[in-house]
Amino acid sequence: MTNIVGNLLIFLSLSSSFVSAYFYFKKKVSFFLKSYLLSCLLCFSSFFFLIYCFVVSDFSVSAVYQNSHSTKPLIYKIAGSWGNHEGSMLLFTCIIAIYGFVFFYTSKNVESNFRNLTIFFQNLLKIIFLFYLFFLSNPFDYVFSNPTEGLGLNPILQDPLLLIHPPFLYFGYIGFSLILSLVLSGLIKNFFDKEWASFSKNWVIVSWTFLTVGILLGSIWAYYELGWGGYWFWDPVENASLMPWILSVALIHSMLIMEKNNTFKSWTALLAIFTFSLSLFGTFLVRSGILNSVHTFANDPERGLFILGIIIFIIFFSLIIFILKTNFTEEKKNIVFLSKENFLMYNNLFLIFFLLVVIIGTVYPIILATFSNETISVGPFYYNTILAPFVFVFLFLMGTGPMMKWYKNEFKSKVSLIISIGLISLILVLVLCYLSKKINIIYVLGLFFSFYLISATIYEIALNTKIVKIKQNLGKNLSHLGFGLLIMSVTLNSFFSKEYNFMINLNEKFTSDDIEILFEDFRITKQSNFDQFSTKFKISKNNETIILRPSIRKYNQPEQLTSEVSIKNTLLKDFYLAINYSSIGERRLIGARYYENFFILGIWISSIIIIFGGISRLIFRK
Amino acid sequence: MKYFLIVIIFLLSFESFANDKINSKVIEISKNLRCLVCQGQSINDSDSDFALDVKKLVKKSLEDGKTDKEIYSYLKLKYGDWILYKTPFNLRTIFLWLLPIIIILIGMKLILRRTKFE
Amino acid sequence: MKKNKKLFFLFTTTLVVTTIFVFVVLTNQKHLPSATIGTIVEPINGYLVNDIKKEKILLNKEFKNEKFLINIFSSWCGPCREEHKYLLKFKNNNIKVVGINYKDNHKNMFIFLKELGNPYYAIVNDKDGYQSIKLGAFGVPETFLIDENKKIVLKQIGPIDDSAYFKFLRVIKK
Repeated sequence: MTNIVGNLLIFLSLSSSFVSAYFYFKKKVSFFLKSYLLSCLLCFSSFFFLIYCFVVSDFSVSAVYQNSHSTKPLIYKIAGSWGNHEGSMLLFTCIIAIYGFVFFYTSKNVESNFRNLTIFFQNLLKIIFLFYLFFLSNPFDYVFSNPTEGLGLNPILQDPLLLIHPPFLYFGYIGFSLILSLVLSGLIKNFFDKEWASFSKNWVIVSWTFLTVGILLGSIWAYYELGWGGYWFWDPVENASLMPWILSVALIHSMLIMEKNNTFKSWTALLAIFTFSLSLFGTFLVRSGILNSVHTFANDPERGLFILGIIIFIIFFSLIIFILKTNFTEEKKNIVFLSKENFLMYNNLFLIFFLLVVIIGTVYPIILATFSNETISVGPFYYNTILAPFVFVFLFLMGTGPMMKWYKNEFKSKVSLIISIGLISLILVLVLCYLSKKINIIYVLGLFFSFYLISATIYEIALNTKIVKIKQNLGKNLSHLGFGLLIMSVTLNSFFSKEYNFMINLNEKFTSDDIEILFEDFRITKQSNFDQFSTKFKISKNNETIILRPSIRKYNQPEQLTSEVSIKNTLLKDFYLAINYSSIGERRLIGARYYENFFILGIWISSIIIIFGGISRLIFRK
Repeated sequence: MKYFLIVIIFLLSFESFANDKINSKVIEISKNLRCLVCQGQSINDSDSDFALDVKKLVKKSLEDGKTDKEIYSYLKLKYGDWILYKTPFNLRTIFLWLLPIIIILIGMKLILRRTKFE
Repeated sequence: MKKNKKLFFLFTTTLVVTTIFVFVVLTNQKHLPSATIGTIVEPINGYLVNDIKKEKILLNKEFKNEKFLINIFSSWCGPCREEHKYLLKFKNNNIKVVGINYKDNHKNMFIFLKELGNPYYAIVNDKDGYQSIKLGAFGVPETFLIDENKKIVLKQIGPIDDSAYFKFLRVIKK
C-alpha cells in the first residue's frame, strides 16, 4: 500500500512537471506556473511521505527496510530517510523544487520573460532527476519478502551532526542549479548584464553559505566521530564538496566585476555552468564506486553511468547555449594593471588553480589506474606541498585587493600602507616565533601572510565609519577576516599538534616526553541498541591532570564496532583520546591514540566567521 | 557480554611499546603508508591485521637501524608505489605535479595579454 | 573563434571526454595490484613436515627445478577451511606446498591440520607477519605459485576456488 502511495506521489510530480513544460511551450503562462508549483508540492509530499514511512517503520518500503530498525531513536529514523542513496536522491530532487519554488515567490519584480524561462529550466532539471529517481533509484520499491524488521542504519551515521550535514550540503550544491537556470535564461532572453549580476549574486551567496556550513559540519563530524584526530583528509568525497565551493567563490568575485563594469560576462556564464557541473560531478564520484573512500554510498556502475550521462548532457546543452548566445563586444576592453578588476582577475586565476589541483589530485589516480594498471596515492603530502606557496600569495592578494580602486591604478598611493601592514605582520610573526620557540619556513610564511590578511581586513573594517558603509562591507570583511584566521589556525594546528600511538593494559602507564597516560578504569553498560565498553584514562602533564573517557560500542543491528572519542576542549588545545579493539592474530588488545590538537577551536570559529560573512551580505544587501 | 570478558582476559597478557623516539618515527612513517586492505586509511590509522603487521615491521626495521628511505623502498618493492601516500615525483606522476603549474602560467599569460599598463 | 568552430570544438571534446569517462567507469575493477609478481621469492626459513626434529632449514634449496606453491594460512581463519580441500588436491597431484602459518599458535595449527589433513611439504612459522610481507601479501588466505627460477608467477588473494584451482593447475602443467 505505502509503496503505491509513494510511487504515485513521485509519478504525479513528474507528470505535472511535464504538463508544466507543455504549457510553457504553449505560452499559457498562468497554467505553466500553477502546474509547476503543483509539481513542487507533490515532490515535497513524496519526501515527507518517505519520512513518515521511516517514522512508522514500514519495512515494505525498500529504503526503510535497508536502512532502518525499529529500535532506532526517532530522530535517527527520520534522518535515515536521507542517510541512504535513494532517499538522498529524493531529498536532492526535492531541493531542486524548493529553489524553484522560493525563486518564484521572491522574484515577482523581475522581468517576466526571463523569470519564466528560469523557472522552465529549473523545472527541466527537476524532470531529469525525478526520472532518474522513479526508474533507477526509487526509495519506494516494494520489498517482496515482507520483513518485520529492518537491516538497520549504520551506527556511524547515528550522530546529530550527521543529521544536518547532508541537507546543508545539498542546499549548497543545488542552489547552483538555480544559478545555471538564471544564466541560461539570461543568455537566451538577452537579460545578461549588471542588473542580472546584481540579482543573481545573492543566490550564489545563499548557495555558497549553505555549502560552507555543510563542509564545516562534515569536518566537525569527522573530527568528533571518526577518531583520527584530524578535520580534513583530502578524501575524494571531501574534495568533491570543495570543488564547487572554490569555483563558487570565483563566481561571486567575477559577478562583482560584471555588476560594476558590465564586463566578464562570458567568463561569469562559464563559471556558473561549471559550478553546477562540479556539484553534479561530485555526486557522480560519490555514487559510482570508482572511488576508494570512507564515504562511498552506492557502488553501482549503472547508476554512475546514468548520472554521468546527465552531467554531460547538461554541460553540453548549456555550452551550446553559451556559444550561440555570447557575443559581448564590450569584452574586448583591456584591464588596467593593479586596478581592482585586475586583482579580482588574479583572484579568479588562483582559485581556478586551487580547483585544478583538487580535481587533478582526485581524478589522476583513477585515470592512471585505468590506463596503466599502476596505482599511486595522492594524499595530504601532494595537496599541502603544491598548494602552500600559492595560498600564501593568494592571502596577500586578498588583503591588498580591497585597497585598490576600480578602473585606475592607485597602487603607488597604497604602497606605504601595504608596507606598514607588512611590518606589523612581520613583528607579530617574530613575537610568535620567539614565544613558541619555533622557526620553520612554512610556519613563518603561513603566519606572516595570514596576519597580513587579518591586519589588512581590520584596516578595511576601521575605514568604515558610517553605519551604511559598515553594513555594506560587513559581508566581505567578515569572510576575508575569517579566511585569514582560518589559515592562521591551520598553520598553528599543523605545527604544534602531537600524536601518540600505543597499546595499553589496565592499570598500566604510557609515558613519553613530559606526558603520562594511565588506563585507570573501565565499565560495561547496555543501551537500547548497543553495548558500551567505557574506559577512564588519566593524563598527567606538567602537574596538570585531565580525565578522558573513550569507549568502544558494539551495535547489534547491523553488528558493528565503533570507537567513541573522548575530547576535552580548551581554548588553545584539544586533548583527544580514541581507543580501538585490535587484534594480533588470536589476541585482542586495546590500542589507543592520543592527540593534542592545537587550536582546533580557532579552525571552527574562523569558519563560522566566514559563514557569518555570507549571512551578513544577504541581510544587508542593497 | 561474553565478548567483553574475552577482551578483558586478553588485556592481561600483553606487551607495551616503550621507546619514544622510535614510536614517533613509526607514527610518522605509518602515516605516509596506505593501508591496502582498507578504504582510504593510512597504516597509522588502521587496526587491520595488515596494518598492524606493517607497523610492527616498520618498528623492527627502525630498531635494526634502517633509514626511512630503506623502509619505504622495501615496502614499495613489495607493494608498489600505491603503498606510499607521499606521492613520488617520477615519470608516472609528472603530470600530477606539473599540470596545475602549467595551467596557472597559461592563465597568467592570458591575463597579462589584456592588461593595460599605466 | 567563430561560432561554428566553437561548436565543432564542443562536439568533439564532449565525444572524447564521454568515451574516456565511460571507459574508466566500465573497466574499473577494484583490483589489488601485485608488485611482487615477476620477482624472485626471498629466502624462506621453515621445517620439512617429514622431519621429526623440525629443524629449520633454508627452503629455497629444497626445490630443484620444479614449480611449487606457497600458501598463507592460520587455524583461526575461516576461509582457510574452505580452500583446504584444494590444497590436498595439489598434494595428491605431487605438487609441493609450503604452508606459511600466519600469526598462529602452534598447538592450534596442529589441531587444525589433524582435523582437515596436512597438504604441506614444509611449514614456516610467521608469528609477526613478516614472511607474508616478504611475499607482498595482503592477508590470509593467499596463495602464490613459484616457478623453476624461483619467480613468483601467479597469486590468489583470498581462498582458492574452482576457477583459481584450475588456473594454477594449467600454469603448473605448462
